[in-house]
Amino acid sequence: MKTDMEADNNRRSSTVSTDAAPFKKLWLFAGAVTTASIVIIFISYYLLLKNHKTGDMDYSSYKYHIAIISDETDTSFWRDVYSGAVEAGAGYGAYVEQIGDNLADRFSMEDAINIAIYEHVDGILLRPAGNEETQKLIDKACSHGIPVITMQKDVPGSKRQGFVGINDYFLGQEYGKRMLRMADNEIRLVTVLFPGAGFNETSRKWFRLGLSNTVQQYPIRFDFRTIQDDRGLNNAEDVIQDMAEGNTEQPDVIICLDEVLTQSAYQLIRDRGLSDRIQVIGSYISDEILEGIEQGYLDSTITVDPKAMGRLSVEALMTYKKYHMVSYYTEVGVMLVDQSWAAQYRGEDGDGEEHHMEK
Amino acid sequence: MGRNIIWKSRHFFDRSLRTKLILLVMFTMTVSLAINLALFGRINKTAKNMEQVYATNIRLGELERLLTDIESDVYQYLNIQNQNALENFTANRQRFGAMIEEIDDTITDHPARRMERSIRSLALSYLELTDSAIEAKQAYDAASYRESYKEIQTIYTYLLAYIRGLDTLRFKANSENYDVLYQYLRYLELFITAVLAGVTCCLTVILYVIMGNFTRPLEELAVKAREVGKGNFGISLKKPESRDEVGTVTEAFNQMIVSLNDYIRKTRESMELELKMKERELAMESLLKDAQLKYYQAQINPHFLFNTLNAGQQLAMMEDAEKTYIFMENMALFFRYRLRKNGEESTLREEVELIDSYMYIMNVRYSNEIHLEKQIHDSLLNIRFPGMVLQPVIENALHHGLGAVEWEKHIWFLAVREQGEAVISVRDNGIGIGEDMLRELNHGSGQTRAKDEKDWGNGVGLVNVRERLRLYFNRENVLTVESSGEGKGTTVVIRVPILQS
Repeated sequence: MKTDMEADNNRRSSTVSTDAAPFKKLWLFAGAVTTASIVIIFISYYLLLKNHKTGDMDYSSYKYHIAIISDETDTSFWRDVYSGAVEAGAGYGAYVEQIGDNLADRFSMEDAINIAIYEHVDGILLRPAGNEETQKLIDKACSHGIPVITMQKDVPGSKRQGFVGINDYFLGQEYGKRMLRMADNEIRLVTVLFPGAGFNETSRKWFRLGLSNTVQQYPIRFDFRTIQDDRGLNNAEDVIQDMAEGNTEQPDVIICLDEVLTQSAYQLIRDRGLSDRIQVIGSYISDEILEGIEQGYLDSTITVDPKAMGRLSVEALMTYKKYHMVSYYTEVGVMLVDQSWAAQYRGEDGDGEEHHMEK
Repeated sequence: MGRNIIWKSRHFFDRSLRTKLILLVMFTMTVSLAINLALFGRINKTAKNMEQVYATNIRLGELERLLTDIESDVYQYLNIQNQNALENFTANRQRFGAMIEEIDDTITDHPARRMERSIRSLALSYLELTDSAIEAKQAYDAASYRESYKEIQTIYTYLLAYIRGLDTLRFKANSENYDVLYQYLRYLELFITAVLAGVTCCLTVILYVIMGNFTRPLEELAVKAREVGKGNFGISLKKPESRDEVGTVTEAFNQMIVSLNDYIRKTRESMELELKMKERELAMESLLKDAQLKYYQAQINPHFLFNTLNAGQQLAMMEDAEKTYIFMENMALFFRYRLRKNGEESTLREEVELIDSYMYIMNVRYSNEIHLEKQIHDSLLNIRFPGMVLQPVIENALHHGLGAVEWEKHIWFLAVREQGEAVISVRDNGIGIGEDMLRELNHGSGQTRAKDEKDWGNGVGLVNVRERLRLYFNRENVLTVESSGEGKGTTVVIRVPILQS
């Protein structure tokens, strides 16, 4: 009995010393659970915050406001010009805006120039349509102290501060050079399709001159046709179809001088299986045109580097803003994309680097 | 830190069960509430953020109405020079101008802000033109105001286009925001459900563990109580973990077990004591019975004996035989005493008187051969003493010590006080006792006792004397026999506590 009690006491004293263990365990457990919950809640909180941020928009502020205006804004060529200008503008702290680009009803080029004037923008980059109204508006903007840089096509009589692009004579030469390389194939007839909006009488004259001067030693006949714009639609398809079906004399080469014409020609050549007989040299570049070149329906395309054009226009404008003068003509390189370069072009597209240049 | 937590936990666990339960429930509810609040705060904030996306937006409807009014006022004034229209124009222009001025002029790429800024710039140009047109009208400069009015109308269409465009954009953005908000809320709903479910699970586990901690001692207590119920009082006790109600119950239970054990021990001890006493009583009784039996065997009918002795006394008186008379008287005394005090309590004085009578008788028998010398401390005469104890010792000395000696026989009777005890020694100058026999006598076994009884015949042996003394005084060492060897006499020493009568 006595020994029992002693043993009890011993046991009791031993339990006292280990008493803290279950509490410690309990608190450790509770602590772990609480910590885990807090961590989960915090992580989730920031995840939610991040998720939520997508609801709002990040935006930047700029020092200058530049309007970029063209009457055809849907082509991939123009989008490249625009993105080149935006990238270059950001470097100068300038926001390059396509006037009315997020309105349901598009403004005409004239309206857009007017709006830019009334908004008192810091400068206008304009790819002009060749009409008198444009010249008047350029002069109006300049009279309001807004510098204007024309792109791709110049308006020589206006008060614009500079022109960035290639002149039509040089462009004609570029096509001529390409024809010279194809001359082995006994080219007899070449049809040149001018887009009516892009090439006015003067432009057409300089282009013809450049082209014919380059190939004058070959007996090549030229058939120059102007495709008329009718509210955004043109008769290119009819003209090309007539040639394809032999209603008119079938040419050996068709030169298309804008993106839309090039694509129409590519479509018809492919649909009719005429790629053996008719070769097409296009203008500008788009995914579709590249595809046509890769598959052999188009011979090649000649294009100014759109991003470089956008960039150079902004640079010209900002130079004018800074020094109140800028060189009258900034030349943008022209590149020829044929089958061998198409793949490379695809790879390089979008990085804004110089492409295969031919002058 | 850990120590601190343990201290705190101790502190917490020492609270009453009710407080602990309330605290626990409050803790879980607080955690739930806090998480809910955090989550709803998140929803609230989201909703506010959504509102803030267009917080700086201008009030388009009003702007458009004002613009239309101004346009109409300008038209009416320029056309028919209506003064009312001019007043209206001034009022509307002011409000319109104020609204326009509120718009942020910062150039941004934010779609809505950028359109707002366009509206601002266009509106400022518009107001400038209207002002100059009205001035021109007032100055009757027809050509100028007509030119201005054309421009005014152009800008008016642009402004309307922008205002409507912004309206559309805002509608679109709001729809997108609504979609985002909707998806976000769905996500939040899922998230909240998951978090609440998780928190509920966690809290349940914590509650389960903590409540288990509260009730575990009770369950353990129940197990122990069951064991105690089965009669196992030797269970190990557990120190209460907390000072709450459960702790109190545990402590009370422990106390109960300790008390029960104590009680049982005491009961057992007292029972053992009682048993011992009973055993002693029985032994005493049997010894007395033994002695009585022996005496009965030796007894003649006492009345016959006393009558005979009385007759003898009378006869001695008549014959003037004084010595015979005294002898007869001593005989009578001796036998009466033996008869009366057999097994009764006596005093030392009565014992000594008995010895005297006995020695008288013996000296008559042995012709005064035996010399008894007594030395008794007076204070000891009246102490209580068991009856019929000392006479057998003297008788023993006579029979065994002095029975066969040729020299003069002496017996020394000594009663002294030593260290608060009475020491009575009976020494003879007889044949003494050998070492083996002495050892036997002092550490007596059953054999000695049997031999003792056999040798003594009618007498009562030393062993019997020792046993009676032991029982009477309730102590072990009451009687020792000492002898220096053969022929050197024997001393019997009785050492007993002094019990005053």
